[in-house]
Amino acid sequence: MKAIIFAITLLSTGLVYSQYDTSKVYISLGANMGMPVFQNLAEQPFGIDDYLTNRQFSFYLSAGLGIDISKRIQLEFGYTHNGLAFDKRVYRESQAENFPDHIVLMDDYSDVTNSSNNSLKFHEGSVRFNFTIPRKSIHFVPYVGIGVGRWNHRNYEFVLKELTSNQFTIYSVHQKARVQISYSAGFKFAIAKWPNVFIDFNYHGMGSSFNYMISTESTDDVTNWDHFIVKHRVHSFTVGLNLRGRFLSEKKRKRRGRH
Amino acid sequence: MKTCVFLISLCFFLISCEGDYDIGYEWVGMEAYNADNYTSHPEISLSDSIAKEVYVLRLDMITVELYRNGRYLDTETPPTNVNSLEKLVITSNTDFDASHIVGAELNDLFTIFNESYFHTLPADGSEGYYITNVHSPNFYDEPNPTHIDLILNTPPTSTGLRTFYVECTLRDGTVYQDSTTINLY
Repeated sequence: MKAIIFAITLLSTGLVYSQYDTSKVYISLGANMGMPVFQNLAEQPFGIDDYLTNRQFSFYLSAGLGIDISKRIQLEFGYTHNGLAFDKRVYRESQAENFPDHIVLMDDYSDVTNSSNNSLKFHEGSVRFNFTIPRKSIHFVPYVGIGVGRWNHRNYEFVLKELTSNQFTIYSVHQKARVQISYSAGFKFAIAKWPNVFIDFNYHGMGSSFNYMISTESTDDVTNWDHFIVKHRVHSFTVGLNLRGRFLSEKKRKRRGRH
Repeated sequence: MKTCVFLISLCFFLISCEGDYDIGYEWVGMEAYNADNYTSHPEISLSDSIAKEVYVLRLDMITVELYRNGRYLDTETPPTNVNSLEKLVITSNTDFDASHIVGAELNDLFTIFNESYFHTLPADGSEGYYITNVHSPNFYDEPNPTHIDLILNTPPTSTGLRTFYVECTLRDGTVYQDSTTINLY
């Protein structure tokens, strides 16, 4: 719901801004929707791969500051955020396949474990080059970008309880994520009448590197620690709305002041 | 003038917000039952025999709510037991194993479930007896803890009919006792 309100706000803001002709500097706001694909994520211990991949479609929100280098080339400095909601039911089902004869439980009331909302997310800062190709009725803008960012997720806990006994084991998953290089490419187009309102088709690629520490505490109070690193690439294909809000130029401001 | 009206309105608004519930309760009785743990949570069993590996001793605590102020139920401000559990003693009428003969305390063989595997407590009281319902999925329907599940971690070496005796001592010295018999196989 928040994402829809955000998108409507963006659209209305863009429509208002698109009426003005302007300075060389502009603000860029975007809301894309898509799904990340985790490339070659092999089966991991403790069902980590299930935790990372059982995700739902989500919004990629971005904001940036751009400048016209020339009539057709723009340079944009941007920030992008994505939060992926966790599908607890699907996770439990896939974990149940990994651990037959067990029940998988997650604690809904713990800060550590409550993983239902945007538990997997990334933050990224990037530089992007836009190449504007104006046509009679449509402005076509292919672009490429590079940046640094980090996929991260909350620490969480789960329990495996044996079906035929009172024995259970608590798994506490702690991780530290590393900053990675990201790259993006895509194109966007705008109707000539509203040159600052773009439909954006984007590809985004970034590595992720999680350094995991997992404690295993069994019913008899014996705690073991496991340490391992999970690295993989995450590819995202998204589509969305991108808006530019241009500052009024000095000349334009004076002209508007006279009227 | 406007500021004055605004501040007075704000005061009325804030006063009318009663905030989180402040609930107090006490236990006025205890009954022991047999339960099993074949699923995710212990459930009362009507059967006369239970597999010893999944046995759970359930204590139904007869709860009386003494007061309830406020407007909102919140896990951060759970109900307060005005006469909390001070001591728990579990014994049995037959030998449990070589180190737990007839009449010996069996507390070290049990774990208090506390409505979540993430928040269990040792039944021997070494970590206190903070019994709460905040981890229960039914917390918002029933915030006061109405039972205590004691999970049997180490099954007895022998099978057969067995009676468990439970003695609960509350902070003010009140003692509740009960027993339950089950065929553990």
